[in-house]
Amino acid sequence: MTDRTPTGTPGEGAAPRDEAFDRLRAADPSAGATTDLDRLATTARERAGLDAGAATAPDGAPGADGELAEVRVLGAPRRRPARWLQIAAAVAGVAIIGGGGYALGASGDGTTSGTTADAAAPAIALQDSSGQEMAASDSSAGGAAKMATDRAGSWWYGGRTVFTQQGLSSEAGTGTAWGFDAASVVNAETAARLAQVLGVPGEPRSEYGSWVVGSSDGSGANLTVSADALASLSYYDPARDPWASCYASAVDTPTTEDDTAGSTEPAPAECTPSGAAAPAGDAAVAQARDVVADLGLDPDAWEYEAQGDTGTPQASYVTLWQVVDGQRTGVSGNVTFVSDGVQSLYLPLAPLVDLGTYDVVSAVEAVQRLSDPRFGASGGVMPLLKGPVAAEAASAEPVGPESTEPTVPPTPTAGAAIAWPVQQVTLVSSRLGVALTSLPDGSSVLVPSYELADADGSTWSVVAVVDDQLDFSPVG
Amino acid sequence: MRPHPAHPDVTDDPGVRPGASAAAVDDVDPTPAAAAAIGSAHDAAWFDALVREHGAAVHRYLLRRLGQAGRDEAEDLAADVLTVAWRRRDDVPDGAELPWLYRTAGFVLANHRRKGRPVPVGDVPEEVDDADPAVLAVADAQVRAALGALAPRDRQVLLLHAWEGLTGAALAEVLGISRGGADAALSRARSRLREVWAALDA
Repeated sequence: MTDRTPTGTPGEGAAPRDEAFDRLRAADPSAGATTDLDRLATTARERAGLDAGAATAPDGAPGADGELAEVRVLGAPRRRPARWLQIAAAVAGVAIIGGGGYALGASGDGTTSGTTADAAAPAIALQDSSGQEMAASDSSAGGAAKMATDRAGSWWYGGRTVFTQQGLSSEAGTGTAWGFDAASVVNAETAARLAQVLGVPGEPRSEYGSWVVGSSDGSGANLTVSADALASLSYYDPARDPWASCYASAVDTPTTEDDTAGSTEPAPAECTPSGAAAPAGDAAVAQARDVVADLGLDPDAWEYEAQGDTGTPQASYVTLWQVVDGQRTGVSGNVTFVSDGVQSLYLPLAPLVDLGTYDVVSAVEAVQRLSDPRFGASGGVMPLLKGPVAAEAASAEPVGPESTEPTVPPTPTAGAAIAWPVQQVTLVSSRLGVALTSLPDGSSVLVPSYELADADGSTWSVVAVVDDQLDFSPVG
Repeated sequence: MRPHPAHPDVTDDPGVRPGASAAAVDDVDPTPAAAAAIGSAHDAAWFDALVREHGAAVHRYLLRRLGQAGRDEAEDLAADVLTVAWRRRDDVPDGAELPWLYRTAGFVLANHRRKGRPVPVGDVPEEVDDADPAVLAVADAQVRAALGALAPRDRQVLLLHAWEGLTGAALAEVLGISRGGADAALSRARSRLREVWAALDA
């Protein structure tokens, strides 16, 4: 227990004892450690490319580790607002959400779309209040994000971008915002009803605010209605996993592959699933629509994309994209089918709530907002890549398109102007839609936003609601 | 600030350094400020002095935040920080080198935490969580628990003050905020620490 010394007692010192701080200070992990300064100095000189003199032969090649981040980050003046660093992060999100669904699958490897005539417009992506990109909940997001980021040369210039516009409208307007009523569905009744639909036995129980039916240890089917902003439903049945027989027979050995993927699949390489084929293509889409209806949602509120040939006919995948007012919102779900039904499912359940009409700025003002630190600029990515270019970009490192072996950078000339690239972007088209963003209280909203594009099709997005209808109060 | 350790085998050998400037006094490490006073730019002599004067501090900064597992990497990363100081030598403010180095060390550490993959700079968060409590080799379990209960920003401020001994303008420099902001942030962080500590004691 803390024995607080009363303040004002003469002779005790002016400040009251702060045991917490004293213990913290005493807990310095580097106490007693030593630094080999000679070795450090030698290494630093070598890496700096300075003549090490009598020491080892200098290796003039600059280290690549950390250089990318280091070069840019330190170039930022100290008072630069936070947003400019997030631009390339926003790039990643746009690649996932926009365009034709799976970045890899967009180029005709058999992807079947569930819509026939008018496909919904792509989603618009914004940063949320913490600066992180609001990506669609898709486990393949990571890979696709990296690819687009590597390919888009524009990210290299970070925030040093000057935006102008040509021909955009200077008329203000209005837009509808939407909220998600997760609170109305995250409860035991919903979990119980859905468990019946999907055939998960048991009663719902509360775990960390979420409602769970079935086993939580992977031994049986599980259904969870999560206490998150979208009221996410997740369901899986391990017994119907086509690879289930592989897991059963595999010895529990630690994975020897790289840990970066984070998965610990024990399935040996030779084990392939067998069994009847799952419905694919249009049949899968039709089944997905049925599942959505059975769950009590509106099948027409989603676009469906069945993934093309995965090489495993026993399982097929359908991605669902939420559509509002003819535009994808960025909210997505997915279903895995096996021959006799659903093996796994992820779907946000929260019904949309009409938050009413908000006044929005004109497209011209939206362009100005890109340079406003309160809004920043999200985007800067080239439109989604197709086919072989995408595959090549996936293996490319974000150093430069022609780099093969590292070479010593050239020595600058005295008096020459210092290269300070600033990207010039002229925006020529605008689209008003909504973007999924999360608020400081954890809820998610679809907020009216502009997507602005240059002549090459690179897009940037910014929130469109007028200043008067935004609450700029800082958090924390 | 801690006094820098004695280095009996450091000598000023003019033959090693290119450039016209000579070292200052033979029996004292020339500080960067002294080097500047002699009228040299931030050249190799300046760099050598910077490394001698502040290399250990940078190394300790990294050691503290890398935990047991990262002890070997601390020196490697310290060398990286100093390399950056060379490349950005004109940015390093005379008389305030160490806060600049600490700030750089924070970015180098954050990048390293991504397993050294080259990342687009946009992925480097503005808020550097340079002290993951799970990683910290803090023997005192209650301190470790208290640190874990704090927000990353509070943690960052507290450790810079408690371990690196930074206050005032130097602390503000490392955090990249105003002096007033730094004072307020430190006061808040200490207050939060006391709250969390009391809760753990209960």
